Amino acid sequence: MTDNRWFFRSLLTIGLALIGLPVGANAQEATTVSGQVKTSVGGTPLVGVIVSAPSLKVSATTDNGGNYRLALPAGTTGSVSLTARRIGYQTGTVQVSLTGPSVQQDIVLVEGAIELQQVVVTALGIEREQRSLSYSAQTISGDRLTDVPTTNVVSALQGNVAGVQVTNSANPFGSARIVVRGNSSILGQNQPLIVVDGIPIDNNAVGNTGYGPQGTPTPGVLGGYDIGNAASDIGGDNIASVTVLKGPNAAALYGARAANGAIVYTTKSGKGAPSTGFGVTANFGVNTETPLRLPNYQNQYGQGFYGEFDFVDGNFGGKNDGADESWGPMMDNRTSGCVRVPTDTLIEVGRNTIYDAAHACNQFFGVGPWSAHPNNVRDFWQTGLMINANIAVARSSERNNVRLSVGRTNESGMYPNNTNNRTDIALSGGTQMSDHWSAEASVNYINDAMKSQPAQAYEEIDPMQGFIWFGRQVDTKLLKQNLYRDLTDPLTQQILVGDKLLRRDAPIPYSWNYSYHPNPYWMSNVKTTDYARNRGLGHAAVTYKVNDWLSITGRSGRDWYQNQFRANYPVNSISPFNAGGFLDVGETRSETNNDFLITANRTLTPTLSLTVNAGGNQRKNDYNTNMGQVSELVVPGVYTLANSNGVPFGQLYETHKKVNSLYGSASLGYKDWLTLDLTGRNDWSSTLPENANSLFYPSVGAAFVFTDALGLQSSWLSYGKVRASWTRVGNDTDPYQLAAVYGTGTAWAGVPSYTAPDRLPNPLLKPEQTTGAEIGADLGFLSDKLILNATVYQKNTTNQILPVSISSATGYSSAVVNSGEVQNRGLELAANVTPIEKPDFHWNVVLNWSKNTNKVISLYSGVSRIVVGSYWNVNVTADVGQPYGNLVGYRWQRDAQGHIVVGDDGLPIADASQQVLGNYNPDWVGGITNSFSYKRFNFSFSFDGQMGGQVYSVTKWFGQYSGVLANTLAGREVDWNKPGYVVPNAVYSNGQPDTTHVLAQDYWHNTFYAQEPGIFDATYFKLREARLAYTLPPNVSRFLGFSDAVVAVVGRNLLLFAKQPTIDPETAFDTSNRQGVENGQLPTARSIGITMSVRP
Amino acid sequence: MRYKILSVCAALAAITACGDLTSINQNPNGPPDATPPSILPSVIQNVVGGVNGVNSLNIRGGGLWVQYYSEIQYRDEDKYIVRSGTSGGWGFYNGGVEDAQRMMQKGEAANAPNWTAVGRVLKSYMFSVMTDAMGDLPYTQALKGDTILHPVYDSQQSIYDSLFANLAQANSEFDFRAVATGFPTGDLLYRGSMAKWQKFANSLRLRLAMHLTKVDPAKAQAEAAAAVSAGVFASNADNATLLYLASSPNRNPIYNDARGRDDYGMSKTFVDSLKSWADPRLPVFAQLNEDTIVANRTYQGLSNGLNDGEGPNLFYISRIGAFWRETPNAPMDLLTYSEVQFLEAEAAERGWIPGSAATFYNNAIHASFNHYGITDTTVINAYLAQPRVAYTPGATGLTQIAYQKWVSLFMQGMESWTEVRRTQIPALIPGPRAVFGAGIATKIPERLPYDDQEGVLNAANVAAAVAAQGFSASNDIQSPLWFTGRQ
Repeated sequence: MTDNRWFFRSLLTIGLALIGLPVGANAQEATTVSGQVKTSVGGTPLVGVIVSAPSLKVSATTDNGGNYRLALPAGTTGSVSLTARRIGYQTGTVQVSLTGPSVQQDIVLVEGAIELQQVVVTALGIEREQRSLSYSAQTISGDRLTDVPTTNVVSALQGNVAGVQVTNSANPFGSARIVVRGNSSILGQNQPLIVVDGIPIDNNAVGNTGYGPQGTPTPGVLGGYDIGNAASDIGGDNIASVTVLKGPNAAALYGARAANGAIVYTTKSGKGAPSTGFGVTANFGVNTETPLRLPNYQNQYGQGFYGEFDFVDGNFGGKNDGADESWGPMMDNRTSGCVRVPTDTLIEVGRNTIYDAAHACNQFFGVGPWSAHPNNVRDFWQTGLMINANIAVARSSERNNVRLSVGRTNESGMYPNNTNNRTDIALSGGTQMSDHWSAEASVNYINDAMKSQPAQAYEEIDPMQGFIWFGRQVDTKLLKQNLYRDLTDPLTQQILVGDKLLRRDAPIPYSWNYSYHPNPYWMSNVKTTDYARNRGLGHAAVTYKVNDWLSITGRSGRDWYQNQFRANYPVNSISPFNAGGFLDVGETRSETNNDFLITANRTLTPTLSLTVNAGGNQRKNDYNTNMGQVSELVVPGVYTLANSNGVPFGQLYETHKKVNSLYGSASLGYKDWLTLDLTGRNDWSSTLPENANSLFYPSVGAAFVFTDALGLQSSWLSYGKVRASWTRVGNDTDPYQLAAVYGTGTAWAGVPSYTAPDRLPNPLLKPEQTTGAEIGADLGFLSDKLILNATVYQKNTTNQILPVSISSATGYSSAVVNSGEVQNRGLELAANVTPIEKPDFHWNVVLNWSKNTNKVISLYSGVSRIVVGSYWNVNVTADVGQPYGNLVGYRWQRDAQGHIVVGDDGLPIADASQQVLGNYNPDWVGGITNSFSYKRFNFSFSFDGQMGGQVYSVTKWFGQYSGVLANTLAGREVDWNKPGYVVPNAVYSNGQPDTTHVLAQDYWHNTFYAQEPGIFDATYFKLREARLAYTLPPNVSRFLGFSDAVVAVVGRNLLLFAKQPTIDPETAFDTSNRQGVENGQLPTARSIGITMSVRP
Repeated sequence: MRYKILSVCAALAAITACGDLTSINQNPNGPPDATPPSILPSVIQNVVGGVNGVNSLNIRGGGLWVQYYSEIQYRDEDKYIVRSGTSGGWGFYNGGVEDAQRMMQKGEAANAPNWTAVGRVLKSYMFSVMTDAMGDLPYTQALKGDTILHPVYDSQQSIYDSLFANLAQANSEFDFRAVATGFPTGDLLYRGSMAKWQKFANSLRLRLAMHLTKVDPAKAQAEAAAAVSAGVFASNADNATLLYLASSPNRNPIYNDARGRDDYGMSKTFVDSLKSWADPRLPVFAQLNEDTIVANRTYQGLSNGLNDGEGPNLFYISRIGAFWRETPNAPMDLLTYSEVQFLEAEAAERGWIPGSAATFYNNAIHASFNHYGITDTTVINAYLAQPRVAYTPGATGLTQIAYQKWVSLFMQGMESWTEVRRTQIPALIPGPRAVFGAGIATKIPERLPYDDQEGVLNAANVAAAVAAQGFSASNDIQSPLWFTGRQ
């Protein structure tokens, strides 16, 4: 190198002399420019920024402290233009005056999801200039994802990318469903492919049917528990950037997996890290969690029916004491007279109730005042605490780089006794072995552990289910103080004798009700669950650079994880195994990818360049699960298969799949302002018929930077690009659909039996096919102070793989067919506005908005409705001619004018057949983030949410039935039977206005026959994040031993604005296509805390 | 250098080479085929649990409506409000019926007539329960999923004709040779005894024959006589009874349900009736209530058709007898000797078969008592000696037979419901809140609905069947069926 330097220096000197440039007196002395690159928001130093002087063809990369040092060629004078580029930030440009041998120049980069000039990582990990892309892709820097800590990196995309809809479950460490540009597959996958460093990873989530293990469990389903989607494992602190390839066009190179777009994560590496020093980066956060919203309860009437309650054994031994509803006496602090005198038996509207004043108000704890406990549900939830820490060390030298990161999150949840932890260790490194050979590798180990998670989805072990059916007079503190009944007390004896279901040899929980609900504290402390996920993912790649324009990369990557879930149900837990039992599920999933990629990048003529990529891939997906279930224990408290009374249920299940692919792309560029793209991929899949397993997926596209081509650049229109593309891609098929096997019947005395398959297979199966087209524009105004990005798209998905229901009289309940079409059309808008940009004050606004219109165009001959999923008598459906995701159930009968029709008894009547009650898809989704920085302070906050869409809330539906919700006071404003409720605007069947007063209890109980009263508008907006950060002065941080230190106050899910009370409309209990139903939702956590981060 | 590039390319091509993709797609999670001895246990469990189990058919359907039981919570069906998703056994189509059909096909393919005949008997049994509950059904075009997706409905009359023909065929089909292929395993009812299966076939034929006394007496007479002469059950040892096992998962469904739920009590109608006849079977059929004063505990039923919260506190209400509810290995019946004797008594009374109606009648009651472990002849004779019990030939005798059959068919609610609809004995009074649509009911339901999904999946055919039978809708439960002679 020493020789070369001399040679180049001489050459440059000669060259400059030849073209007549003055060669300065101190021409032999190199001028250096150095400084720090920081974020505009928060002033955080940025690692890995490429700082270059394009005119001089020199560049450098910032180290862990964000520092760069650029050696300019000898003899450079005057001023030079520096650009700084980093994924996730707008490219910064500064003009530097070379006033001495060493010049200090700091650079500030503005963060933004919309870029005009940056480099983005596209399909297969290929890096491309944003200006050359013919499709829509949006990139977010990793910092944006971790500014406010969250346990699910997928949910951090919410509101940050136009066209992306994220639905979070409220479960701690729970799942987040992500959909890009609407649902296109009726029963298949609608979530995008997730790719980390070029290797696709698994994003399965265990399904959640609610109603835990009963009968024969289904593989991969845990009743009531949500253990998160697999992609949530990726540690936010390890992410350098994430690019959302928004549609089939952008993801076309993924062929049969491209239909839903792709989310491409690039992890941090040691590249650009300092070569000396300690090189440690650390982040630390502490957050408290409290319920964002709980149901809106009434506090006037306590437990019971028809104004009466008298506790004897809590299981219908006393007057209505088995009731888990709040239709009892008014809570006016009375200590006696909760039942009527024996002569007063008529249950009538408006009648004066004659209570028996001599009879004490017996309650579950004894005699006491009949009083409201308005906070009895809130009292149950503790303040959660989440602590997260991440330490990374990175080093680099000229030829090698390495980074090691260790992260840990500890959460003690709001649910008593619940703890969740995540440990994340990542090691990555790269080396340049010779001028031709280079190699890189990464390994990432993740361990998730969740103990005593609350169940949800309206399972009996869902704590919120026990608060939907509740006595509003119950003092939760008494339940906390007394977990068990005294075995010798008379009531325990009575329970033991009276209900043979309960076991004498194990303690009885102390509860407010003995017919349906154990004590919720007993459930959280005694009924335990233990879940762990161990995951390893990693890759290794070797690149051989043949020459300047041709290189070959071979790469192998694997994602492997194991879920281990155990739920122990102690004796006397009422449900699901009264006599004790357990469910143990182990799952192993892996995806292995081996591929190669040949890249050729040539300038053909001075104005024409060509990039060609060609490659091949072999993918293997393996899934194994084993399950053991004991539904009756012999010895209480011993949770082993051997301790099963009767044959325990056991099951093994596995699936395997392999896909071979060849693919290629060609990109032709003309003068840096016109790009033409062509891609093609051929997949051969094991899941398709042997003679028809090959499918080809093409795409074409063009990008045209018209401001450059037509010379239109001006101070107000600084940049303009239009783009268009077309593609036809697929949606993966599941294995084993070509032929059926016999099902396993219940074994008799251990001898197996088999039963004929219930689904008619399809030996001619094809994958689903999506044809997509999009056009868009990327515009910069006012020197890019306003950036606009707009895309319109249409995608049609045909060949839907549908197990259509067929008349069971055929001997089968369903048949697999390839039929049906779903169309999605939409508009995505993203804007980045910088209204104020001054040295000391900076204001930036990022807006994302998208509207998707969905239509089920056809299904299958003679089929007008496919049921996607059901819950509590509501079907989530795909109906021909309507948007996907209808919520279908019974409605109240109405007359021609729309009045509700009541019977002679004054109660509404359900329609004869089910009707569409709503649809879960919103009219539009959007998000807005404002960031302000003033000197060392920075403040940012984000709102996001959705307009329109409906949700079917079982909390609301049953909470009304049971009389616990505030709106059930209608009709009992004066007393339990006074004044009675008159259905508003209702008529009798003869058309006359309804004037019948009905008892509130009768009215709300009647709502069981229709689901309409459980449907609500899902419109909501959340103050999702807020952050106030302060960067310590350099002398202070240096005194502390760091170059840089930031402290911040952060908050997440701070405010909720919704059209209806009681539930958080952003609700999911798994990531399946059955959305828009809410069942005993756990409260969403509102978290507030502080974070600290330091850099070397 | 060049060979280096070539070797890299060769290695890359090798890892992506097309291996054997087809074998990967062989499903390892179940057998591609199974033999009838492996299928039969599923069918038997499906049919016994399905017909006499907890939901829809026995306890929540027929048995509830003949007022053996009452719903003590979620009291919908007790008020004649049939919850959506409930049908008269439609699930048998893609369950036991399809499996039985496969047993028949495999028997024919393997030239193993016993496989065919056993499949035929069970398929006939399920179809008879389904048609008695729902009326016309897809039959000739049913179970042909690969060719017919929209099967037409056959009339109940033609289904009955087919069932008679099938049972007659089964009777002559059994292969009694020792070397014959049969069921060395899997026969949970008769442990491989084809002779008993043959009697089961003929006894079922007799049952179905007697169902038609009102609508087609000539056919009833001919089929009954043929069935009896072919050989029907001769003792309780012939009963088509599944003896459940003491350990999970082979416990009887009533016991299983009661571990987690408490939805059903005894009906006041049944308990009061047995009390007034001093029937010794009451302590078998019902449990003492849980009155807090132990000395006051007694047998007490709940009136059918009440609202939640109406009626006495639930600890005053007797639950279903410990014989089933507290006994995991309780037997459950498909058809018993006792019932056959009642059928023969009725046939003899009508003069269709030889023998004394009184003898058959006394045998039937005797067999029922024995079946429930009451063997003391003093007790049995005392019961038989009651004036109301002692057989009186003629019309009174037919009424006595019907009443006694109602009592003895406890826990076979579907068959009991069929007989009550045919004989109108006993005369049952619907509960106070029992309604058909808008009005108070004056009679018990006449049928169970077709499958909800038929309206979508097989709309034209179900509409034609509804019209042909004069129903108001596919879930009409008030219109009588053809076999009752009142359609």
